[in-house]
Amino acid sequence: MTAVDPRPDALTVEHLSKTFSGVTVLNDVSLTIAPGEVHALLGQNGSGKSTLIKALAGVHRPDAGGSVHVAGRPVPSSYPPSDARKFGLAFVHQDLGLIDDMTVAENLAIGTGFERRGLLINGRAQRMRTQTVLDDFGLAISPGATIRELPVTARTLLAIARAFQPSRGANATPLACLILDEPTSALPDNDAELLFAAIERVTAAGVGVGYVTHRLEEVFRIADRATILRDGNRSGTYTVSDMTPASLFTAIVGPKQTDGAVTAPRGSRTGETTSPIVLAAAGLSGRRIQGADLTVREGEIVGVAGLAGSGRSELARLIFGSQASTGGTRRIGARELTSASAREAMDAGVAMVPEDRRRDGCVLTMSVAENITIAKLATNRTGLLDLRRERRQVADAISSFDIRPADPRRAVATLSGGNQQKVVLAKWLARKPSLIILDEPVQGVDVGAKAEIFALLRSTAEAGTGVLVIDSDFDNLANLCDRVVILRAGRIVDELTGSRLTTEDMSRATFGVDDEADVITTTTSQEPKE
Amino acid sequence: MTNTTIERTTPVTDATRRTPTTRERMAAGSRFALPGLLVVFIIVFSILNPTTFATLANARTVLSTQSVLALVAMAALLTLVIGEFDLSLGAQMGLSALLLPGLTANGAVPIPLAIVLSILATTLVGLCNGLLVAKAKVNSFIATIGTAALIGAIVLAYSGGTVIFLGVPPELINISSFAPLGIPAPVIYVAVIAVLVWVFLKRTPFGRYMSAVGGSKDAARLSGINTDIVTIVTFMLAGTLTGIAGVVQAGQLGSGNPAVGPSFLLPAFAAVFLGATAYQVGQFNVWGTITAVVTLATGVAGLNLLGLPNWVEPAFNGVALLVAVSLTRYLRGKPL
Repeated sequence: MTAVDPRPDALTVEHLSKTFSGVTVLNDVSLTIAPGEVHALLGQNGSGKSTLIKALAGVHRPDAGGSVHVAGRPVPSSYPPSDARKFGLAFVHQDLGLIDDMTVAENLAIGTGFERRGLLINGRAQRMRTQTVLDDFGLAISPGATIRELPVTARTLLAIARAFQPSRGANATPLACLILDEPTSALPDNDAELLFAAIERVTAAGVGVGYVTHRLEEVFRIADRATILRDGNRSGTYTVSDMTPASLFTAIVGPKQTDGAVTAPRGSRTGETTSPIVLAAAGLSGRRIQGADLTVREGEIVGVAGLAGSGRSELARLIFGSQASTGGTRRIGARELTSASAREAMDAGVAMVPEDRRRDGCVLTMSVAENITIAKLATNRTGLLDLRRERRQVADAISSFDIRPADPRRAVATLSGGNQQKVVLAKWLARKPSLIILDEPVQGVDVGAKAEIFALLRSTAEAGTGVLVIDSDFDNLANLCDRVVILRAGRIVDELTGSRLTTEDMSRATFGVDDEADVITTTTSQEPKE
Repeated sequence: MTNTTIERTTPVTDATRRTPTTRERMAAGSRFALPGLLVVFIIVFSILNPTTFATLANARTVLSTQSVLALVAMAALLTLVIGEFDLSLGAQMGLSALLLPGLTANGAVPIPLAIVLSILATTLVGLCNGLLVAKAKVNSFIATIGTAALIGAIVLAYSGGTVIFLGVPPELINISSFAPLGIPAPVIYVAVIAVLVWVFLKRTPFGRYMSAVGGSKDAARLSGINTDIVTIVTFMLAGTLTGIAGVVQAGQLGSGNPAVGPSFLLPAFAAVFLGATAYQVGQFNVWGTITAVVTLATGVAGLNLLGLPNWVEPAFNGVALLVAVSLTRYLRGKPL
């Protein structure tokens, strides 16, 4: 950036905090984005990036005491998301917010209003305005095409163009700051340059761009400065040209922890390579996952670490068969699974606790008892449900999993997240699986239930079940697992065991920073983490 | 911050930790509002109309005229349990009620075989509906509007648009007119089938799978349930029930009327939704559905005997449904 710029900052955030029922997830964060600057927002999973963006977008109401200015003008402390653009602030979220079944022209009009003649939409004027916007970004797409017909890159560029387009009306605010949330995560590799060109077009007009990403190479490619969040705090703002990938990485994950408290290993039972193999996947491929080789042995807890978008959940779905694989084989014990069928995997002894508990994990409208037994219904000789046996089975499960309230007839929808998850676990463990796959098992679960669930997984493993667990909180994996495989951009790139089974090693491996010596010797000039 | 922390910190509602609010207590009591209303109707109309309403004959008439509707309502109940709409149920009932007299006319097909064929025909319609919804992935609302129109066409073609009565064996009315111990046969059919449907929904694994599919298709599939089979079989069973309803209807008419059928569709759905406000609030249930059919019929019969104009009946039905469903919506704080 040039040193002296007479224009006000595109975005000024001062002392922004956000507390969710007593837990501070964003603590006194301040940052500025200059006009025409690309400002990277970096941080690990759970560092507070999403909360910061949601607070700016009007989704979350920030705590009192902070302030936000856009182009020098103050923004109210709370506003509906639809108002953000009125202040000159626009967002392109990961889901883009385009309506698939509407046309390009209609989608562009949704942000700013339709060209009208009286009460009716003026179709010709609308198309002309759309064409101007499209030409501006060099987008060779028809205004009448529906979003569904467009490739994903064109959609992303269109979302940026929509945020950037001039507003209709006399007192419209020009765009001052555009926030992009991981815009390249869904793009094909070769198309990132198209996105960067679009971003340059935006910054050339003096708009400040906030750029959230996990990909450090992109930061060096387009960003002027980078602000790093760690555990809800701003750990520093850096001029990118002064940094190396290794030093930037250290700033993201924090100084090396020497006390080793976080990474206390689960025990010395890591070397049991003689136990029988319960899962053997070879060359497994899907939409994102490419050629994954993975084995899980009896009684072993294997973790999968990866950044958002690395294909973690897809790996789980491919193994379970709830998503069709495009290649590769998977064997459970001696049995080869051939079809994309959850039933086949279940019959072979696989259980899966999916990530979206409320949609996929349990049937919210059904009772605790019905959810616990749905995967293994007790029937009597006549083929009718054996309700007495079911009641006993459910009562046992409720007491041994400590499900609260202990009411088998209560609808699962009314339970807390932790208790819902225990219901899901009770459902699967009743089948005595040989392999249980868990996708984010403690997401949305309170601390107490989390400890209980981890204890349950350990005792399940000790009883001989193979456990495969995905968790975006690497501390959890370091705590729980015997072995962790690293997933990066759809490929299993590394495997951590023994002394390398630490949160920090997982972070480094998932970001793809391999030069360990460089990382350790480079220190940040900013304030240390408390 | 990832969603992890956000979700973890969202306040958790746990109704057990506090005393129930007035609304919750009312919600708990509301499950007996519908049967309570039925009792009130019987008492009030008996007092107002002691000579005509409070008679056994009247009770028989009310119950047996509603038996066809009750059967169609149970068919609608099955599809609603899996979260689908079958808008062809009325037309299906009409098809069966036309086929039976049509097939038996002039002794072409013996009555027992004609009954089986009529029920098979609507079961086949159910199979088509199920395949369209489960395999072709057509929205059930739209798919069954289509099949309903096609059934209407078949009915018109088969009947030529006129009532089939020539050569229909007079024994046909025995199906619905015999009355062991003074109980009209249609009432017995409904009672037996209601018990069977109740056992099926509440006491068989398949019934559980149906609830799971209705609650969350994704969760059901990921729990190893073949959601396609559940959907197809449910539509077929609904077809079987409407076939039986048609047989009862034909027995009551003694002839084949091409106009009968579609008018049963909306009252049947109304009964199921009204029934979901009773006993197991928020769940489509058999006894609620039956109670709703009887309550509405009792109310209408009482009003008719008071000599009120004929527009009172639809008005009464509409008001009852809207009030009951809105009130339940309010008391539960969420839609049915």
